[in-house]
Amino acid sequence: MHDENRPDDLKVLAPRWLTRRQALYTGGASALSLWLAACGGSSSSDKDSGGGGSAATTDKPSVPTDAPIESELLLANWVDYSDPANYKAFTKDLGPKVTVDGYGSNDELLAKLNAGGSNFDIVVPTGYAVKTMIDKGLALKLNKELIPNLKNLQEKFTKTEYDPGNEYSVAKDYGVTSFFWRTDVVKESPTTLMECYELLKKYKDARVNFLEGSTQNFAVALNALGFSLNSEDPGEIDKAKELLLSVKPYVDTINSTFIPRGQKGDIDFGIGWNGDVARIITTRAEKDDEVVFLLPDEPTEFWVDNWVIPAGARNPVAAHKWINLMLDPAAAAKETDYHAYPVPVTGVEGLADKAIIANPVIYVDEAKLAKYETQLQTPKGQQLRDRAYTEFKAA
Amino acid sequence: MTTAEAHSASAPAATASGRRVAGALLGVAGVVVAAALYTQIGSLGLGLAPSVALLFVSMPLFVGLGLVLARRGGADGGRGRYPLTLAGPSLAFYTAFFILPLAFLILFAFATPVGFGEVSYGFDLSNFDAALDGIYVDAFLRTLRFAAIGTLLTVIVGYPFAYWLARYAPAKRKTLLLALVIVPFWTSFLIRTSSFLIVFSDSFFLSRWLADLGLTDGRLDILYTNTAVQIGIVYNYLPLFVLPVYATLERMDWRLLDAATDLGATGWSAFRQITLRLTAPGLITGALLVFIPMMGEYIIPLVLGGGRVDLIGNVIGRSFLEQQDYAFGSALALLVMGALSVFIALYLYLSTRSEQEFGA
Repeated sequence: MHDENRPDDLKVLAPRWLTRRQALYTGGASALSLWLAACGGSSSSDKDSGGGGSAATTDKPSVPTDAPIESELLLANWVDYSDPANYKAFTKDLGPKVTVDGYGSNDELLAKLNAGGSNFDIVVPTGYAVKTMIDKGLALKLNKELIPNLKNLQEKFTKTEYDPGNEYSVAKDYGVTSFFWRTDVVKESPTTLMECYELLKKYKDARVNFLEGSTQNFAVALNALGFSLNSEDPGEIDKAKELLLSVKPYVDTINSTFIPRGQKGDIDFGIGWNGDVARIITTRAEKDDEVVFLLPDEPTEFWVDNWVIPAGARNPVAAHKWINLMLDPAAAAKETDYHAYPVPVTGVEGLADKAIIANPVIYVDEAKLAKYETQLQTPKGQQLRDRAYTEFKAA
Repeated sequence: MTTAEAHSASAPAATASGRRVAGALLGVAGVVVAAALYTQIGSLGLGLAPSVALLFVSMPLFVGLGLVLARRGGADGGRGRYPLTLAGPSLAFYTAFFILPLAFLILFAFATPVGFGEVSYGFDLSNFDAALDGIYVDAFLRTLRFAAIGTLLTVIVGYPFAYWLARYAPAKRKTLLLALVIVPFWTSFLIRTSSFLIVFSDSFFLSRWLADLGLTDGRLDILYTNTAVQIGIVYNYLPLFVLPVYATLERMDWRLLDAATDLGATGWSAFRQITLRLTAPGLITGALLVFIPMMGEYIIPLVLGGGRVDLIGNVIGRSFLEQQDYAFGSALALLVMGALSVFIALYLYLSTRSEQEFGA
């Protein structure tokens, strides 16, 4: 990890008698994870034999179309990111009891999935993490016959770069990462990410929140410096690290679950996602506080979050049915009303709250969106970011 | 077992220490064999239930090893007839959940990470090199500072209370008072820690009272700072300190103090020369009992530090749970364990000495 010049073929040379996964499955902390691995056992050994390749090697559907639906659904989602009414409706109409687990960054999600034993039936990775999951054999190939509502998915999202043809993923919603602030604290009106980083140093007493995770923090910092957020240039990443370190003294919290605190008025200045911030803006407006979300003219991150079924899912039929429900315009409209992000399902516009559809912070101007950049993830880029992020966190 | 007995029969003249060494070596060899066995369970492709069954069937192997080890060591002392089987369950448990994970930790620490959680085994010192980098040493020193200040504050807050409880508290009320110390300890650790989010918030009365008293200028501004983490640490570990100290103070013969006063000692010197020295073992135990977990504290900085205060436990946790850098995390964990062992050795030395001086 800390040697960038490490040859790529080391992986080939690595003795295969014991992969890290096997070691963890069977070793100590691991006797426990054996328990937890439960039914995931057989599918994980499939993956291992593939040596990290794709899990989909046959044309046979991953889940038989006529399989009965299970009685449970374990959903790992970002915190507060789906309408609880939809969980209830799912249980009421189809039976499976829904359990929700939360996480705060794609890094955290991938680590959980890769360690095995998490047993999630549905996860919500961002585009680049979907790609990583597919490459690592961590995603289950979808049986589209179980998802008839797939016809409602907007055409643009059937041709994504990370999963063309929706073999493994279905877009959940999309958004933008940028700065936001309370106008009673920040008197200026910054128009670029860089100006925001600079202003952090001016408002020393402002309560500042950053998002979690190395990919997320470096995406914003690299864009602010005018670099691509996918940069793999150690020099550029170093500059981004310096930028982050220079503002670290003014950062109060690093937490992706920032909606409740923002709604209480406890965040003055921060980095966030547009829909979450839109919810904060609405709540604060009731208290006559003005909160602004920056939609810069320069590149910043545009992301698409997706529904994916992990390879070891214990309730794959229920998971397919869940995705199908989320592609139903009525349920999708409820989602949009709840989390305040556009859902790429045809027919939602007529059913969702008009105020949300008309909100420029949520439905961002297409011309601006076209300038924004989407993340890709490579092991090399990730290693450079992880090490630099650790320095930022430990500083 | 049979091998071990044959071995001892062939070397009747071996000294006790020689046998112990042989026993220890045998134990190590056995653990290696068992570890190899464990790694194979997963690759047999038996599925979950048979794997778990095999795991637990292989446990007695460890128990057997432990027995061999213990017998080698104890046979000459004339005390070889202890019912060693009693140690079996804990031996099996610690082997499976402590010694084996530790072995894997060592294996990972010397491996080369190849990205996304995979490692290539070998003898690679670069993880240790990276872990000894300035920022991690700083994080370790910061943790050491938190733990040292935390322990000191715990002693300052906890010792007088334990003293009062043991000596002056009305006998009828003692049980109740002790319960008051223990009950919060039964509450979920996370809830206890999270409750401070409310206590420190601006809308709680504490913030307003302090502002009304003129101690703060409007905002308490303590949440998500080092201070909040430090308070949370002391609060959470206090019962762990009070209980062992109370136990030693409870056994104190207070007439010794009367005797000392009769012989002309002032209250302070009687306390210093008698009470403090007699309760030193409890005091040291209590202090170490809170210091060690404080060094590994992970949750409190996460909750009360707002993700901004990074202790060494958080660095290690993140390398496993977010960055999937098992090799680096293992190396760092081993270094921290090594450093902490020094404190434990110090504790053993100090407590044995004070026990020998005064008896228990």
